[in-house]
Amino acid sequence: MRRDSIYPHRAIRSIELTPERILAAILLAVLLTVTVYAGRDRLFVEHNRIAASLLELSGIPTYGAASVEVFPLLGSADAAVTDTFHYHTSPLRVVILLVSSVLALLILHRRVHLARNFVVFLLILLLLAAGVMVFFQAFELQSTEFTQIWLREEALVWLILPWFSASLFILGRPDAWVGVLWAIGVQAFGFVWSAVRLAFCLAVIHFSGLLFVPLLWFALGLLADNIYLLVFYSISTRQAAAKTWGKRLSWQF
Amino acid sequence: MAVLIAIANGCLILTVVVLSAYAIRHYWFTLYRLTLRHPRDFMEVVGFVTPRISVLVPMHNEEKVAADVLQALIECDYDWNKLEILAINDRSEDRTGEIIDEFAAKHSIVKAIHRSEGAGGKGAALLEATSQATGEILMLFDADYFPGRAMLKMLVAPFCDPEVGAVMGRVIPHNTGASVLSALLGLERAAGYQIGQQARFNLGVTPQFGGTVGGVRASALRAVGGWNAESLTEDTDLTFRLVVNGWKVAYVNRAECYEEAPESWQVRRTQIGRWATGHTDCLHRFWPALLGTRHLSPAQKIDALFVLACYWTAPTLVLGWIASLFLFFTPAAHQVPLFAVALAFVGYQLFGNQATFFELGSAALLDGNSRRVYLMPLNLLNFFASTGAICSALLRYYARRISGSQGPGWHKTRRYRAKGNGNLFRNGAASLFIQGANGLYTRNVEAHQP
Amino acid sequence: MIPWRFALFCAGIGLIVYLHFYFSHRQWRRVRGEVPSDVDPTYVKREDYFAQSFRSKVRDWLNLPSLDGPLGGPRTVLKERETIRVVPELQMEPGAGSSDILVVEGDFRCGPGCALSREIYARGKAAIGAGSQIQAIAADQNVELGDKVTVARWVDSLGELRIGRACVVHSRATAQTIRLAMDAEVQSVFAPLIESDPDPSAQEHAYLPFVVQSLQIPLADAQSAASWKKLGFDNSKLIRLDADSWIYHGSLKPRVPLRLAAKLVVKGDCVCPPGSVLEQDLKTTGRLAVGDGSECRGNLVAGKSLYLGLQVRFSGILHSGAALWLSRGVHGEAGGGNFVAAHAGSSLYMEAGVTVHGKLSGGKHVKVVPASYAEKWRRRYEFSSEKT
Repeated sequence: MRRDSIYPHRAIRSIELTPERILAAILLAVLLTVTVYAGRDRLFVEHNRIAASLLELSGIPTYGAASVEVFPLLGSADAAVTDTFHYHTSPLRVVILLVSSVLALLILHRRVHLARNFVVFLLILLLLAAGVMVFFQAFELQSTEFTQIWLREEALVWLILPWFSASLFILGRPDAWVGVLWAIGVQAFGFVWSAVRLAFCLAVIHFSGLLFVPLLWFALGLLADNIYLLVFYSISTRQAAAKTWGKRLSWQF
Repeated sequence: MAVLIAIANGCLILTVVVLSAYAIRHYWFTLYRLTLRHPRDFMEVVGFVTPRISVLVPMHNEEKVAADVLQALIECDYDWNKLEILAINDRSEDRTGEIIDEFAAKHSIVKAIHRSEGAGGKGAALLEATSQATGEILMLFDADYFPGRAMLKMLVAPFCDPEVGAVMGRVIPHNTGASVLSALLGLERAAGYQIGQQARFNLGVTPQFGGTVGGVRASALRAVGGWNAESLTEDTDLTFRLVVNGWKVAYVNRAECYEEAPESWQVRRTQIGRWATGHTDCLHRFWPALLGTRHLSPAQKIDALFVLACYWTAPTLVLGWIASLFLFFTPAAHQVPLFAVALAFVGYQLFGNQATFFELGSAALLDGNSRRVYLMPLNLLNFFASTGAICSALLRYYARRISGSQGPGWHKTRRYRAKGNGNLFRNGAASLFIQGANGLYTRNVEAHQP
Repeated sequence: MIPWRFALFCAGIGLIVYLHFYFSHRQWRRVRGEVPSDVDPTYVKREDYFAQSFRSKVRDWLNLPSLDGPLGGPRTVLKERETIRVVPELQMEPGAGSSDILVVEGDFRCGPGCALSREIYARGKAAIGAGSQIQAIAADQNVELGDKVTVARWVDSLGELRIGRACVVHSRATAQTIRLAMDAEVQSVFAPLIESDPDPSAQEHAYLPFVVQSLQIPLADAQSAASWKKLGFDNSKLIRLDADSWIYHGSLKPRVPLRLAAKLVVKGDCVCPPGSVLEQDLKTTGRLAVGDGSECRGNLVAGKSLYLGLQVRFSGILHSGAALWLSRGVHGEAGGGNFVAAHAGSSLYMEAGVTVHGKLSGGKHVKVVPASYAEKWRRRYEFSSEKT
């Protein structure tokens, strides 16, 4: 008997959690997870193909692919083989890159107050990597090793993502069926964007070695996964709230 | 090296467990609140519960805002025969005392209390004012708040329940147009109140009494020893003293009051640092009593500890990052396919962050605030800033604790009221129009007692 | 030398990253001048808010341009996409319909089976025929809703409001006097006098229990604690909260009437035998039942259901987390110009012959039900509807 909206207040009372909605959420999460797991070999192949193509397009030579184990449960994947830069090849390049990136971050620190702590964290990562490059020159990271770490993280994201999508896009908004489309969209975007980011990281390693690896792995790794999920969620919520506001019109004079 | 790797893995696992526990709690509260068809509230009995109340407004150098809050309280829809307003001037150096005296001279329900000696701080001011209060219920407002006409009646309604010792309303930043920080804080506040407080109240755990836009039963306050003038967060202190002694805290979601959110990072850092220190101090003082009290169920005790320990999540997170970095740079570590640890790490990073943003988005959905939800991705940067501020505040707190340094004085958040830009209230006068879907209309319904 | 293709790739990545934040950035630029969540500080809660707000708006709308009819006759006011029909008096035939806002300068009457999808304002009396469906109605004189009328929103009368059998009002009903027939259902009612119709088939119970012994809480004499334990009260479970408040850890079901001299919180269920006198507030985390003929001077709050027996008198607030039951003859009056209020988290059931001066509301509804429904409630609490 209670109305959806609290009149004359602006808020809505709640959204309805029907058994159908819960079932839809669980089914979608299970379906997507099973699809990703069952098709993981194909996914790894396509992922590598996209990454390798982007590397070629950006002028980074690749030397075929090597097999890397993701996890025993997930099997192996192909990883594009590229050259990686080493400190002893050109210390001057490292110094120039380090100084220019520190300057860039400091300018960002000064101009964008919101991002100050984040920039400090990136600076720490950058200086740490530079320290390792200079004082632990024996420490090397091959492109295949980086790809292995990357795929370990991203494969788990692809498996876990459907469960977050189910809660965010289906349980957490009034119209569940539009939420299904959002969930599928974010899954597809996540896969493609992962390949693009990996290619970019390998390209950067090709030119600068270890210097930007921690920064990239942090900023373009899990953080980037969080960001695109959040962006999709914010757009979806905006759309759902606007629609709910529209329904509330019926209670206005 | 193996030992270090084991320690790093241990730290990572600890981080995952602690933050996952908080994330599960956030998710549970959000889903519960989103689908809560009949929130527990006392709105239907608002106006039928009318005990004698004393409104306490402590002020220290509040000449910019003093007149606004006193005028708003005078215009409240409450029987003047059952109302007194105690405006406390605590050694102000500006015109605060004069403004209070002007109101006291014009209106019989306003009483001026001028403090020129004794301990400093809000807690001490409240302690002195409480001794002069004659009301059954003490309502508290900070000077920069702007209570609506229905506020007192809404806040007093839950006191028909004899178990309720304190009541909290909802604060809404009015200066969300002043800066991106205040807009982000508007989102955070919405989540904290619309989701967090309401869910906790409905689930029977403890919503927090915030020390403003709220009230406390005078007899309950006396029974638990009165205000703690030594505490940095006297509101958190009182909440848990009440709860440990068998009282309940009620939350009234519809009792909304505008507040000023910090507009600059400097002010925000100070504010969140104070909250982190105060909460953690309360944790140290109350955890034995919380665990030992017979008035709380195990679930209520666990949730209370979660509340008190919430600022420890920031240093825990930093510990997790340091452990991750170490493991990343250690060749021996990433040759070992620690599937479970990797899954947990990825899981909590996604889970932990999305739980908080699920709460933010859900609050925006329930509130009907659609466009501001686009700022959510920027809240990640806000999160980094807050983490840094909390960690440094806690470091200073533990350093002081070890060295035995002095207690707090007045910790005022800077006022922006006169600034005007992006601020709803200009020149101390409020001109309020509510935008409806059909355009602008003003609410001008004459009010009378029901 | 960085190849230009890699530089393009970097630019592409930068663009994609910026696109992630495009909406945030756009909103950031719009932040200045942004209006916060609208809080109306002038809002004052009043039970007839909808009706008063509607009357206030009608006054404004009548100043809008209209298509004039004969002097003193009907006219039509155009309000954006809606039409307001202003008539001196109106009597609608059975089965008639209207999608205009109706403003009736005199009396309004509609026959059975009408469908009126917009609000009605009558300056005179209003009578709605049986089985009709209306949106909302405000009248300056008496209002009568026929049997099985459905009101989608609120009803307000400045006189007497009669809600017929099996009527459903989905929101508030407010008036000076409200009379509810059997099976009438409203979300909330407020009036200085609310009565449910008497049930002629029910026996008259002039029930006044004769109290020989009563349990006073807190005990006047602590020495007698042992003897009270046999009668259902364990003094060791009673803990002081403050100067005049206590907590009882456990359910409280004394075998003799209860006399409550201080505020009490019961951590469990509480069943007050017939003839109890509750001078102060009583709260239970579980169910609360007050036996026949009792008197409640304080507030009663129950975490679960709340039951008031036959001819119980209350003068405070009743608040239950679940259902609330007002038995036959229950009388709620605060005196001194004040009103009582009773709210149920789910349904508030009232039998015939209930009188309340104030407000009744339910999360689901307030419903008048026959005495037969009450029997299962009485059995649960071991109350009998027979005189004892």
